[in-house]
Amino acid sequence: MLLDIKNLSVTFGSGRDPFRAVSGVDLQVAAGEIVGIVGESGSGKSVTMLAAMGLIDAPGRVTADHLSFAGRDLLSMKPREKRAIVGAEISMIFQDAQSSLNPAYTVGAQLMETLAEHQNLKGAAARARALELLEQVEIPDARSRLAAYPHQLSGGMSQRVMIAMAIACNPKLLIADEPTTALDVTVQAQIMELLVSLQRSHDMALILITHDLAVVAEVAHRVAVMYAGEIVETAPVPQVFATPRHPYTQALLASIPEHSKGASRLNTLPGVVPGRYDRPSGCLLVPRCPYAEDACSRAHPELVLVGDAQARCIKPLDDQGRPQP
Amino acid sequence: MSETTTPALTAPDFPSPLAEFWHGFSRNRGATVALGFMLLLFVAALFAPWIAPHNPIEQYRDALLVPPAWTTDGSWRFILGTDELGRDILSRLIHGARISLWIGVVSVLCSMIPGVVLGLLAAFYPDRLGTVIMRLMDIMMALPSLLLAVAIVAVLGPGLANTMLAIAIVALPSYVRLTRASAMTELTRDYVVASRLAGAGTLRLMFSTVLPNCMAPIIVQATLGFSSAILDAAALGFLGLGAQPPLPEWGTMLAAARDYIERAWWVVTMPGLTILLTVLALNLMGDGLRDALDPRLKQHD
Amino acid sequence: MIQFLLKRIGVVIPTFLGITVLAFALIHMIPGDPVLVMLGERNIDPAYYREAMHRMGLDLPLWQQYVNYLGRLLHGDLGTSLITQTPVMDEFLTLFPATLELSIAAMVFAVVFGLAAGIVAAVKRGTAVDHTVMGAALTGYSMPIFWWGLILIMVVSVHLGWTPVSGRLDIEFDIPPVTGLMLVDTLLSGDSGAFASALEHLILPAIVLGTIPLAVVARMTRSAMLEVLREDYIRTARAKGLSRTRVILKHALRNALMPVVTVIGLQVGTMLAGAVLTETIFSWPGIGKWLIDAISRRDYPVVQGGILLVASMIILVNLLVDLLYGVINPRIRHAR
Repeated sequence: MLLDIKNLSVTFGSGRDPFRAVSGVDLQVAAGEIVGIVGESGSGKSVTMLAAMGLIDAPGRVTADHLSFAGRDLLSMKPREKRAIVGAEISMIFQDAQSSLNPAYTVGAQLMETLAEHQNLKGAAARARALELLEQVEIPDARSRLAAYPHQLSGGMSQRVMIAMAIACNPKLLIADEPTTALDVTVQAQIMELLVSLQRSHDMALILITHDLAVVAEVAHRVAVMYAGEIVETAPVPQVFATPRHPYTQALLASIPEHSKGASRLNTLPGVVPGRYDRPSGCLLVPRCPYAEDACSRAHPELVLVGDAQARCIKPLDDQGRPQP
Repeated sequence: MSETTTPALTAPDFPSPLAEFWHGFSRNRGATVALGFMLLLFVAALFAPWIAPHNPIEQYRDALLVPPAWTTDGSWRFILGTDELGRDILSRLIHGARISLWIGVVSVLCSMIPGVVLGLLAAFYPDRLGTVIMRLMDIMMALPSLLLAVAIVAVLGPGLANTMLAIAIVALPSYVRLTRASAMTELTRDYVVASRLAGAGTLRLMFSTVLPNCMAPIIVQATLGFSSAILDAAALGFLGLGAQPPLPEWGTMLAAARDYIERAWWVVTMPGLTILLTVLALNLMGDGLRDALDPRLKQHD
Repeated sequence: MIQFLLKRIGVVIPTFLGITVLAFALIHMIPGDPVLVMLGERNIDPAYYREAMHRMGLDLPLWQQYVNYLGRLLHGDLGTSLITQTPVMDEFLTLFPATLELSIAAMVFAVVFGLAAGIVAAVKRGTAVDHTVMGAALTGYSMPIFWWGLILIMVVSVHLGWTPVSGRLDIEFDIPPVTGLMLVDTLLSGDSGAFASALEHLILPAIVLGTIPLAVVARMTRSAMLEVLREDYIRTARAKGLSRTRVILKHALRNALMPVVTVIGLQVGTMLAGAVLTETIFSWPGIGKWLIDAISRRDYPVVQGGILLVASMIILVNLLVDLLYGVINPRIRHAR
């Protein structure tokens, strides 16, 4: 396994009233694999990956039974050793590329900073490599863009720069956190295409964090669905769409326009994700689940194996999308 | 996000604005302590002749430069000691509070009232009158406050009244700018338009519609203005341009104390410490008021 | 950038003209006859009075007097001191380096310690360190610096005997003025004792003058840093695997500097006003002391010229700060 996470939890706040943003997440990503992490905003998908990269600051606390990357234990690693991996072997791009670039430095300077930090490339060699990277992410007129400031770039162009920075050291794993959400629809497709082609040419693993199952359907090999800080279902891509095992996944699918063809209106789940003060004691989906029964409130369900998939439900859905009797 | 899930459907209990303000203000411990200190100082100033143990200008020829009571040579007759002319320092400080607070109150009022009026005029007539007013204020702001005050006193001559006038003039631009800026924002709001449509005259619009909604930052500015008035007045007194001896003004007391640095530390320390504590208290109160009155102005913390 | 520059200068010129009107009016606002005010004498011969009035152009209409005044200003003629009979401009140029040296030293002190304190407070936000630093900053901000100066002299100079009480240099040294900056001149003279003496004389006044700007810079740096540390690009910098120090100093500080530079610029005014007090306390022979002495001696040409020059300095510095702001902030530089 390239990335191996077991029982990862992230807690914010302190004292008597802590808030668990992520609890008990297990996730394995193999080399060269594309994994989609899907969930509503606030479901903990970004926090999970930030925690894996070691980017959660106090007062946030991260705990895990196991957290390793390419066989190396990230938990026991010294900060210095970890920093050598972060940004080089694991890299990350974010939702709002324009605000993710430092407004005070040129594109070139920010690219070359990564090269200097991890590959000790400086001066003309760094400049040449930066140029090459910008060309790889298909930025037109790359040479002049090196001297451009972030505010002079469009959103799509900024995201390409972010991607160039992320692939600068040929990472084994690229985490893309909602990489297209802030972009125009036409640009979204281009960026996704670029990410997938880079994933192939660089043979890297890609974790795609998104709230949009449709994006995942097109590119991912495997999907993990998160709800209220937990993984509620993981499954290979074709199966998730054909036979969702968890009611929440089913509801997510129903809210994609193409999947509910013929329906007069989109199906949506009533209610909202439970927050800090209204967390149910049993299954977290109980207040919103169409199939909920008394047993669901009694105990918090574990992930159970259903064919190729794992679902956190005491009565996983069958192939017809109905709860098992 | 709601913090309670109590289903009780009682009528919401809206605290009065004053109670709400006090709730916000009293959470700031520094500001509350500062308020207590200032109240104490006001009481001391108000009842100075009854509280002060001695007459502030009475010279005890037998007790020149007596150190404070807690030192070996001190006596409880003069708690904070006496100055070079044998005057009781504590009594002078208490009477000095009268002068300093009086300077503060008068100069704040004398700059706030015309400042607010000019600011409102600049906001209501932004084209010609507003431009002229703001240009004038820019020119006044080009000189730092103390230097402008020094220049004004240089023209008018030293003295208590001229000190107050100079400080009032110096503080004017900050009120004008602040009032204009907040009035301009308020003028674009719907309630002002509604009031206008209802036929409210300009004066009514200025003072009873717009002004009350600009008061929060003005009150904060007045508090901070109060502290800089006290500081500037003391500085002028120290330079010999403010209140003249034998008036027990804090800055004037310090000016006289300069010659006794080497042998009477208390003569130097006491008046300055009083100034520092007063100014610090007012600044703490200003911070507290700002946080309690206007969340928009709140600093990140 | 050129357009930006021209726009800033366009705003400055009316302000400067306003200051000249103020300085011009000063003489006429002083109670008493302007001729007597400018001559600084009483009971003078009527013929001499008329001659002086004519010579100074005070018999002309006011507007013409003002135009003449402006014309003289353009030639660098600010009048002559009543006491020393030397041109005001010459006196200013002789004394200004002393104030400049003091101000630079104070500013360096304020910026270095203010930035450091602000950064530490922001990074350690909410801790005892943060509360201590901010408490100290508010105290510094509330400081009556004339008293602060006296206390420092009392403790450091008189009690501990570490630094001299007043002046710029011990009298045993005779250093030819080259730049007027004592630290530079003593260094040029090659006399290390003189340099040490100049440094000893400078430390306390610089601390006193720098105290309020230090507090302001610390408070501003803290709030600007807190704002910047929340930005997305800080997360990016950390995701690059950069060290914490590097993220704070290179990525956060650079962006937090923009509001801080503005505040530093605004402190120049405060500083020149503070120089009046500091120079008086430490008998520092600069323009602050010069102005106060002129006021107490009723040397009105010096008062008039001095105030005009000081105001011009402040306007000039603020203009420079605006330009510097354009240099650090690429958005402004590229704005059309």
